[in-house]
Amino acid sequence: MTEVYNWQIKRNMSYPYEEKHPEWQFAAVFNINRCIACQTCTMACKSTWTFSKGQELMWWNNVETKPYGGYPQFWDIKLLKLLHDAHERQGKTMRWSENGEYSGMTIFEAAAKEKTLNGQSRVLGYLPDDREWLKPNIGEDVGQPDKTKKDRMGFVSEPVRLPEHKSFFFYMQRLCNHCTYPACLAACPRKAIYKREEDGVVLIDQERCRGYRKCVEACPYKKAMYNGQTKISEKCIACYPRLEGRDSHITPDGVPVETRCMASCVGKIRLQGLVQMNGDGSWTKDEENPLYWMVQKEQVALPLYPQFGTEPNIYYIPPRWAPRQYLRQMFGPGVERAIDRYTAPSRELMAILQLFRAQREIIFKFDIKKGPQIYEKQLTLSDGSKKVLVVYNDTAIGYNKDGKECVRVTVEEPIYERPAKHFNSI
Amino acid sequence: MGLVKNFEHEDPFVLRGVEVPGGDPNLQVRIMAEEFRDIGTPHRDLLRMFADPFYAGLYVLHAQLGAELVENTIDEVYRDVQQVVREDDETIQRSKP
Repeated sequence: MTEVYNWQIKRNMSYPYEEKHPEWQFAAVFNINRCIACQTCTMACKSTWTFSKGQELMWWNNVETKPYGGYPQFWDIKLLKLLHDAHERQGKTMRWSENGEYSGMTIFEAAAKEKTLNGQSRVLGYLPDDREWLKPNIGEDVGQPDKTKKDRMGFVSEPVRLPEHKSFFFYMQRLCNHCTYPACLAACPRKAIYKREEDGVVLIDQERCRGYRKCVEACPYKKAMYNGQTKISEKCIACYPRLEGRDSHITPDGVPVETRCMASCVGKIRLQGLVQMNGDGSWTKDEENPLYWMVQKEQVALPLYPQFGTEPNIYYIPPRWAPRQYLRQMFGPGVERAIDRYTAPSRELMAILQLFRAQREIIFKFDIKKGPQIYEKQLTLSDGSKKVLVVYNDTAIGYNKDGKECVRVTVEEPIYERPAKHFNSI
Repeated sequence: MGLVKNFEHEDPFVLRGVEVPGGDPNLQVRIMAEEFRDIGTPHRDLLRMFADPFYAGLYVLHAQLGAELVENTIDEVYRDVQQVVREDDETIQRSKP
């Protein structure tokens, strides 16, 4: 074990390998507030990468309903319980200090004194049962429609009258986090997993892998999966041919484009990019990069379960309506600040939010052309108080890797309604 | 009518009917309405979406809280942006209920 610095928990931590960082890092921000769980991202990924024999139950991208859903089932509850029990056994506590430092153990540190079911491991984890991978949507806690009653368009119209319990819920979009300190990589006894120097994408070398499934056991997010047909493990590859700009059908100019799941998001909740890294693992200061602005400058987007210690690179704008205690467990101590900054966004953030899924080329730089004040609106902040926000019709402009303008959108986007005579005519 | 079961330690991973404490469905309706308003959803369309089982997430709130409360909240949310600064823009007219 060596000491590495993890900026998400604001301290050094133990990791099996020495610190080494890529030049660029794959990263993305998801706005949970706007996801409608349409699963278009899920199907885009499925139809691109996991449609073969042996991959039937494999969903590299999935959207689950929190707090009940999970793929594999209860992955986060199980991991949190393992970590909690390890703390109890070792007489330690999981705690965040006021300055945002995590004083508990990560999954690497907890494993140092823990024996897992399969023997000593470098990472605290578990191997999900086969049944836990079967139903990616189980636990969706929403009203189920009565499928026998349909309207003239064939859509179900009447719900089943079942007793429902009142509870909050939100949709959680998940894929491999292409972690800075990947647990899958740390656990692999074959050294078959590596992190690419050019973009930080974590890949499994299909030639070296022998299917020991230590990566499946170790990944706290359960995004390494075993293929029973090929007898080796697989995972999200971040659509790297797209990141490299090598698909001439999609990008004739050869510039990097967003992954399939990001590019297909109809809810416009995703913005994916590449951020430049310093040698010490920190992000190079670049306030023109929309991801840098959201993650580092305004800290409006937060990593998922940072206490696990892998430094994941998918960031989430937390849902404004969910209980803060639940969100703090999930995203760490910056939740209130992130929610309030999202609720009352700066002009820059308001403009960046328009760039989400506005086009498919990766935006390396954004600019804002200031527009007129258009209206004021009343907002509800996390403590329930009201605030009036003045909204401007600014124009957000995005530039691709070559510095060429690839998108231009205004805060108030025009809406075109399809005339009734063309209804459903596509 | 609510159905609440208690969490059972010997059955720790089946959460059907178990309430996770916290959260406020009224606030959830308001915030969801604000989000849809902010991406340009017309007022009448949002009313329809909440009442339509096809939009399961919105519908479950509609079923829990009742049509009147949901409609009142949506009306309120759209009223919030009525304080128009620039009158000559048709997009502003769209924000009005």
